Amino acid sequence: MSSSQIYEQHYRRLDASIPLRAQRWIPIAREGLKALVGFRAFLGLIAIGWLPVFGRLVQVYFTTRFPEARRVVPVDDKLFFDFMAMQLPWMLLMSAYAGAGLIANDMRTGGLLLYLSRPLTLVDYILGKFSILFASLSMVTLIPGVVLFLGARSLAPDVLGDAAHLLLLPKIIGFSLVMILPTIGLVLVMSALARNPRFAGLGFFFVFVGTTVAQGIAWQATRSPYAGLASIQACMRRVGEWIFQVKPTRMTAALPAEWALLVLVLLALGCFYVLKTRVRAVEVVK
Amino acid sequence: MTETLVQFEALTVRYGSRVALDAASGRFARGATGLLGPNGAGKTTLLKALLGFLAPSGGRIEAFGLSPSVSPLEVRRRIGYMPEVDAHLPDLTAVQTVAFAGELSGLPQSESMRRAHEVLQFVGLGEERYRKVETYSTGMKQKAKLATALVHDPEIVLLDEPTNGLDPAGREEMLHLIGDIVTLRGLSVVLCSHLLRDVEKVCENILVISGGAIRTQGRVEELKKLDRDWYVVRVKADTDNFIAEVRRRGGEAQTGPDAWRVALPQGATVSWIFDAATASGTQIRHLRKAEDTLEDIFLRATSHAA
Repeated sequence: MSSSQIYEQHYRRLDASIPLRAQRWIPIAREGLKALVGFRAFLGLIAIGWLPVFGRLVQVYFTTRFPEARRVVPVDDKLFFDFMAMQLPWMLLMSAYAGAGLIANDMRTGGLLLYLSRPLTLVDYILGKFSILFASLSMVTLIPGVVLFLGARSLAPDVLGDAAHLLLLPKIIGFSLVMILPTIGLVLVMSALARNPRFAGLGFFFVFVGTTVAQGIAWQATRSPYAGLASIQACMRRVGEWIFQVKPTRMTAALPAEWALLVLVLLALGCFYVLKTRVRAVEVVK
Repeated sequence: MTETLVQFEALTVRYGSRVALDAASGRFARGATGLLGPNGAGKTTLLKALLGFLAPSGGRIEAFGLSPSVSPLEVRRRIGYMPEVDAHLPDLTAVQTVAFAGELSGLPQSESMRRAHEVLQFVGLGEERYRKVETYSTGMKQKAKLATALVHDPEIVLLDEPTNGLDPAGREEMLHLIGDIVTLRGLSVVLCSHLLRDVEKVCENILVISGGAIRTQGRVEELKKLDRDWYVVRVKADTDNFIAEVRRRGGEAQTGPDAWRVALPQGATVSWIFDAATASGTQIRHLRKAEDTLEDIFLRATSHAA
């Protein structure tokens, strides 16, 4: 390629200075989601995550046709809690798929410098990555939960149509946030710690499964209700049980929900702290 | 004096206990400035302090009258940065990457895309702009990085080793581009390099950094001028006699690659050399006024640190 070509091209100076954008994280979130939607596996995971919604709606429809069935499968808070709790494994899978490479890839390809040399703060960058995961995980927790509620309410207005049952909506939103926020924190931390997205995904699963195993061992050894605090999943479940006011499982029955919530809040804050430290460290060292 | 865009005084930056910049003072004027220094001298650290990545532990740095530590976003909005290391986003084409960088700098989406096409044309990647950046050759990646640094029309572009890894033709092309940015487009450039020839070709100002401190700075033409009158001299025969005569008469003589460099005593004129030659019984074959090369300036500046 000859250099003379260059001089034939033009470079236009901008007439006005560019103002600083207020929501600087939006392009990061939009670009990240656009990239994810391009993967069929991602769309497949979402589609599979929606199957239980239809199953539950059929169940609700069945109870409207045969009211006596409500004695066996009642349409109440527990139905929604069970549905949300069953979405947890899908949510974890989605987290690993969508989140493991979010920061790891930027570190591997030097993309982090491309972001941080722009008028962006570290918080903007993290918020942008967070939003990608929040939108992705909401697709299999929050949104299906809300759709299930609205669908069930329209199918069984005699059961869910009263004003008291409207409280289910904030409960669904609340439990979704309890599941989503610490999960996002953890997967982003794993992504920031490992340059290889596969290792980040494996590390994420290892922590999730590992803490549940730790809970089992602690429970067997001590029979203490506080053993549940060692497990992220158990804490999420316990807070969910408290939100929906359903009967707790044996292992978490005596675990105070406030403690479980505190563990999750501390986990989310700890993750944010590690992210800030880790991403900044790379910025300096390079 | 040309307008100062960036100024730093007694700037000290540390990585833990290691001092990377040690009370460095200098300025980047409008136009092209070469930031010269050996590896590990503190060039990249200076650029990172300018971008607000690193907080100074002493002294101050200002760009456009703003402190990067206090107003990093405002400073970065007006700076384009081409890092030395690879910096691209996985799975994105060049036009997507550059447009995205423009958006991150605050350009509206449509304007950003339009500018991405323009700057990619400008750097000579027009035909290849729909290819993923990770499939590019080293030279193309360097050009893509340059396009990314230019997309938001910065006032000053920081180029960290822009010719690294390029073959001679690619290097020439990159230097042409940088020259074009400065002379035809009116942007200012800081060319950070350890390659003297690159800097000499493009820059009218230089800063030489070594051991974390600025050793010398100014206009290249000014720095090349010597503080004494030196001449490059070749004589017909008996050079030793001639040099002995020069020294006896109070002059100074140094060997050069293919000729002697002779400095006149204070107040002497060029005829003094002819007198010395006549007295030593030889003839002058070649005589011209000597000028420092950038290499001389660099070596002299960095030898202070050694």
